[in-house]
Amino acid sequence: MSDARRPEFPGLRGPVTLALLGALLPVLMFAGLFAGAIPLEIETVVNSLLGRDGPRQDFIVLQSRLPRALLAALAGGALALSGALIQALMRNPLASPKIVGINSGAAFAVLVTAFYIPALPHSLLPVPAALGGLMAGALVWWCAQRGDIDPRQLTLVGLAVGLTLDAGVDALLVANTGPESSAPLIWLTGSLWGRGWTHLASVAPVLLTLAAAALILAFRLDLQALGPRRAAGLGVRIGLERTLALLAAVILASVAVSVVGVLGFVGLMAPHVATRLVGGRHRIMLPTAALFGAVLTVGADTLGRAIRPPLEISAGILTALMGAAFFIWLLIAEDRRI
Amino acid sequence: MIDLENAVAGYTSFRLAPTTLTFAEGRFSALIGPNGCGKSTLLRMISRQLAPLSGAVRIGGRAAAGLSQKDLARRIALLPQENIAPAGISVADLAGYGRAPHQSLLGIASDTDRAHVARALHRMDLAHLAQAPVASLSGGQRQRAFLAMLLAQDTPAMLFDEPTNWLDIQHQVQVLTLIRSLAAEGRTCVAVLHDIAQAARYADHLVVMKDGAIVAQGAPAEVVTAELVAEVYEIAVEIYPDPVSGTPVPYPCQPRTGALAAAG
Repeated sequence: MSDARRPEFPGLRGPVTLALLGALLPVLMFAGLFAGAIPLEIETVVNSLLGRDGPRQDFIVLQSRLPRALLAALAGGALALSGALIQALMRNPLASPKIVGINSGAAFAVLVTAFYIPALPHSLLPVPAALGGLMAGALVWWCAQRGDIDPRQLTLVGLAVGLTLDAGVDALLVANTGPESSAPLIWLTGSLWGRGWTHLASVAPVLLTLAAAALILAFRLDLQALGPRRAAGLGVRIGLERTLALLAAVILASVAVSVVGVLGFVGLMAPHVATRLVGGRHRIMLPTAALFGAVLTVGADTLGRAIRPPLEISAGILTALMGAAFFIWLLIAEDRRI
Repeated sequence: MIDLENAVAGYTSFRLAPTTLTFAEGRFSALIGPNGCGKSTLLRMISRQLAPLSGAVRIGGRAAAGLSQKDLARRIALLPQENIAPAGISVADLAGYGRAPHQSLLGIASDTDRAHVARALHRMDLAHLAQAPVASLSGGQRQRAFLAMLLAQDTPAMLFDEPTNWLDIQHQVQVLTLIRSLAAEGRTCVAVLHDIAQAARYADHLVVMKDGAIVAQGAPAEVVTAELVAEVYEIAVEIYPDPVSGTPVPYPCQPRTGALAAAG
């Protein structure tokens, strides 16, 4: 590739950033194995991981914390990728799966299923989640097909859809108060509590496949980010490619939401930070965003368990706190540029 | 070569008159006419952004409607008026996107692609800014960066919607001279221009539009007359030859109002 030969984008170091994030992620995941209601010694964790003799806590390490860390990384990466796709499609840096209503659609559908079809195994929950996300996404898609709608208007439509669905979520929770509603409530705040290998197995294939597809076709996103007319002028079959990218964005976010709940701001923040770090070419920006999203989510989940064990603070609460500060900074920064 | 045959461009609310017209290859044709006369709509139909409501558009003898999106993008390129670039890409990245119709879906640049991009940047005077973020450029530099993308696309037909917008006089002349040299390479060049004198000076062929219809076309010296300008722009002018090129330049008859007040 030409990238190695040519001078870098001023102040940006793509491969170095990617390598640093790539190194940080396993370190954080490893750190996550120690934190929680039962603090563990390094020897115990290592012995469990390697199956060696000596003090071991296999259940906690291998059945609880390890799949949880993997799931956090996967879901965080998926939400980040979804946000990057949506921001490119809508040419709006403030768009994200949460803001255009996809997360709410998925959450609504998961709750409906959990309350009214309790017989459905949990491993199948990603399916209604994806349908709910698609329902919200379909409306956005429908608006996008109506030609030259202002991306900001589109975001407002998504916001309206999201708020309506959020009201639906509240209504469902109110109508189903009782001992069985506390688990959905924890999940809604964006928590990895109680997640294990079965959850990981139910979402990993689809998330990894879509992530690979997005990375392979990153160049087409570059073209789409130029706007539908310019993209068409460069040979993009805009109706088809935009629909496929939006479909991927919706499924990535909804499936992630079905296992980790509504992790606020990851989908908004990660693509932004990635663009600032490595530039806007999706070939390098998408993997950076995905890694950043994974680091953020694993970090938040670990921190949430480490602050006051045995209490757990939902990862979603921590990402939302970070996200709120980030959002305000973003608005001020955007303002200055104008 | 671009042929229009009874082609009707427009939307449900607004449509142009059926147009039969040929833009010859190796020529620089300029579309002129007052604001809102349908110049951009016509360009959008030629580039297939807008399907003709009836009639046919042919590019290089082939019906535009029958071409795949990629084939179309290898034959015709359009420089639109607005030039908004996504965040975080360099001038060289942007110019490189012009090679997309010549690449696979993966967008992997070949040596030929890189040579085209380098040449396009050089021609647009942007080689020194190749690695600069597009967002950091001035309006004029950005316009040239998008022109570099168009050059990299390397199509036999090129359309320009008000290419001199945002540019200072030096770069206006540069762009108009560029379009002339692109035509001299044998390409079909069509530009919407606002300035009649500039159009007459640089284009080989003028097409004059008013209210969605073509009212005159031909060589600038024949087309630009006081009568035509009066009819199309509803303003009285006198025509004098350009002292450098000898091409017609319209001068409005109405004096400056400030001068009137001073005289009175």
